[in-house]
Amino acid sequence: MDAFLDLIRVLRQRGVRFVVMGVAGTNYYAQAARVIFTTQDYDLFLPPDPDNLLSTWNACEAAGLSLWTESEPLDIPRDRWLAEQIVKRRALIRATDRRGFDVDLSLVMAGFDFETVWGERRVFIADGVDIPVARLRHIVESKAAAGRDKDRLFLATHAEALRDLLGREEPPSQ
Amino acid sequence: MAAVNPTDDKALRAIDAAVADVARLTGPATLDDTYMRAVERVEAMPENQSGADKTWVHEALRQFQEHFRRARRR
Repeated sequence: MDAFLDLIRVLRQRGVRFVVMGVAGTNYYAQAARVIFTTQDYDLFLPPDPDNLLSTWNACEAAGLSLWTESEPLDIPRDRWLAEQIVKRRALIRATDRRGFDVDLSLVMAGFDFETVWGERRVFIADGVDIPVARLRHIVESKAAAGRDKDRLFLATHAEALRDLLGREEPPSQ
Repeated sequence: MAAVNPTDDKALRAIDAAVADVARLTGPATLDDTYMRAVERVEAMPENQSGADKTWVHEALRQFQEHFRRARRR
């Protein structure tokens, strides 16, 4: 059973627009298991569209996930008004099974607007499910733009992984 | 405009706190040209084009997670 694929399947069935970004997104570009970053945290980038956000919430609930903002459950009713408030604030909502599987539903990807990322996405397939994934370049540039400690650590580790992958003929120094 | 009831107000304040947390950034990191050329090479690989089957990625993650779930302190 793969909770992430189950969620992606439901999102696709409901016509939700999203792309996978973050560390989970980079894993789709890995060439071998040794350069996969183990994570149970997933990041989805969503357009600033209240109707799309409502569909996302409904899909998450259908997949058995609860929705949280900060440390509190997302308010009920989860209606269009609430979706508009979340979009207006570009707030982060987390979908979780509360057993370690977390999916961040983000309206922000540092340095990018949704349509740019959506327009250049790759669509990979896993277990028959189409998975829209942000370009690797966009993910890396977004992490650099965010510039948090965890982003810097990821970039250094990723550069090292690519150096190993590409045979050390061009040693990245990030 | 209608007044926001106390429950909604509490929820919106929690949301604003979460947004402020996201906004606390430390400034952009620098990406060097060598790293970005490596990223471009990886993106250009045939196995990284749309339509590629990545089932193995999920299988590898499942195996990693199972491995760590079974890990015990000696």
